[in-house]
Amino acid sequence: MSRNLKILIVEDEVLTAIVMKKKLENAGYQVAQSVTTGEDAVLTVKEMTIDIVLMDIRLAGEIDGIEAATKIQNLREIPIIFLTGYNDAETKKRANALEPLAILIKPVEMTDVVNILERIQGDNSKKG
Amino acid sequence: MKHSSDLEKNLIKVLILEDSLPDLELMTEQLSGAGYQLEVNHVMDEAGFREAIQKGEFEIILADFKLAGFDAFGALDICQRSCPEIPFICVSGSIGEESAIELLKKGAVDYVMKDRLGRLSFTVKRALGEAIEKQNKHKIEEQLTLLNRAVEASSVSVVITDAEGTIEYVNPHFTEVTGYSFEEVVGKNPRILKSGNQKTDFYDELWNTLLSGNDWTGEFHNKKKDGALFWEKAVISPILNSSGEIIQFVAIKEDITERKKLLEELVSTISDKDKLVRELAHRSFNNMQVIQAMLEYKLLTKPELSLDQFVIDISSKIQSMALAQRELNNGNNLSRIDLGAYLKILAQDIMERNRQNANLKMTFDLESVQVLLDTALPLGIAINELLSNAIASYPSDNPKRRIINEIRIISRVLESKDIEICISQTRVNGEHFNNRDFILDEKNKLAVAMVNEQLAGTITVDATNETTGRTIKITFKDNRYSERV
Repeated sequence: MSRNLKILIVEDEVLTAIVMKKKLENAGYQVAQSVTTGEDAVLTVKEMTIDIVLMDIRLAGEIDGIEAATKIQNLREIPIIFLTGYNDAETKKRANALEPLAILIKPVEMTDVVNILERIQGDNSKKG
Repeated sequence: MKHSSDLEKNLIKVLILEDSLPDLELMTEQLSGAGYQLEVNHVMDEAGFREAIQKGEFEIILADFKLAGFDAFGALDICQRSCPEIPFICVSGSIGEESAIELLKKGAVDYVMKDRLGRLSFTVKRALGEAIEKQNKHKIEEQLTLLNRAVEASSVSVVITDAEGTIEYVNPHFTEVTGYSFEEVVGKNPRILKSGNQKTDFYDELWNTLLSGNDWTGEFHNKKKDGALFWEKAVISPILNSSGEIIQFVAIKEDITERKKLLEELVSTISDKDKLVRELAHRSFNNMQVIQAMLEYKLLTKPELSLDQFVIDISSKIQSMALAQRELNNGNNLSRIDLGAYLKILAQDIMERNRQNANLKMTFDLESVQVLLDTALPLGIAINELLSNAIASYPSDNPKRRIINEIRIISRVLESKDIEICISQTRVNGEHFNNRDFILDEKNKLAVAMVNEQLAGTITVDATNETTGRTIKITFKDNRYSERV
């Protein structure tokens, strides 16, 4: 099965981003872009085809991941997975309002992310 | 005390001062004949009268005008002193007009001539009725006085207006709170207190409620005479007359400025605490994520490392993070640490871990500057890598060599507010550096990524100076994150 989902990583922790990217690539996925701010995430979605966004909530820059995801969804309906160190009810409520595929609390097991991607990939293949 | 229910039963307790028994009989006959049930206390002289007055078990006094050694004036005098509220009627066969008028002036309610005793029952009835009326009036006056005192001494503001809303009365507390005197506000409309911070809707709702005959409760944001704003919790009630028309409004208002302020402070403290707990939890989860990523990064990029090397490298980096966290606890800020102090303990810790060479010394020139923990943490990991590699670039200890190698760490804030950190190292035992040791090599890849991507800064290396060795220069701004706690 070809894993042709184009993934955008929005993560300010460079080390985490590098590891995520490598693990996703090892699982056969393409990471189209990796950025550290919400502003760059929105720009990336405007400029290139992105099929799924892995979004941290606490980010460098002016806007947080939830605000960035809101802007992205206003542009295009792209599935979002939140990966965050915030585990409080208020943040979860804000994030859930965007109906993400999942909210994964850090430290994140990349196999959890890959499992979600497999499911999306499977759905896409059936449709295709 | 006479009650109207007793009147209806026509039972009266009467004190009669009379030295003629036939006259006494005539009087009691008159009253009984008029339907009264009598409880008569009959006395014949001053001593008996005084005694009876002291016991006080009567509602009305009938006194003869002229007695042996005593008269109605003397009796009236005693009554006025002891029981002025009890009606005193003079019953006489011989009272002259002047004396009668004199008696009435002194407080007798009436007089009846003995030859016209037919008037007696009517006079008694009227006197008792008037006495009750007087008592009631007195009671109401007492209540009013009490109410007035309460309102005047009250620690809430009381405002009474007419039906148009024109102020008729304010109590002293109103003056105390607003700074307006009684004279300044009487005749004015309470809108003189308006701060303008509440919309027309607010006042519309107030008037709609009041004009429909209901109490209004709410909070005013009002303005004092000196312009200071304050909050009042108010209850306003319309006062209706017997035909249901509004004739006045009464407002009871309490200054709640201080209470509101306290409440706001409390709410803000609680929300600060909530925020703090959330950010600390986030920090902890995030640190675990970074540690996990460091482990995985090593595994992905350097699978050839021995377990020993692997553990040493990672625990050194974990220590770098912990040291930053420790600096945070040394200060009084929950978000920022002193970069100079951090760099020093960080470098010393790395030196300790990598010490293999007595010929190597580390020197510092560090400026004190506060940076966010979000900036310090990735910087610490980058410095850890750069310094560890710099130390490892020297050969292991050789006591016979006398050349001292030096690593110097300089930090300063540039005019542009950028922060610059330089790590300078002398040439390795006098040897030139070669390209392999340059910054962009594989060994320092993580540090480069950290500075370039996470701090959005620059990292350069200068190895051109033949005598001094090489300098790694990191420049960044501490403005990528907003302060959260």
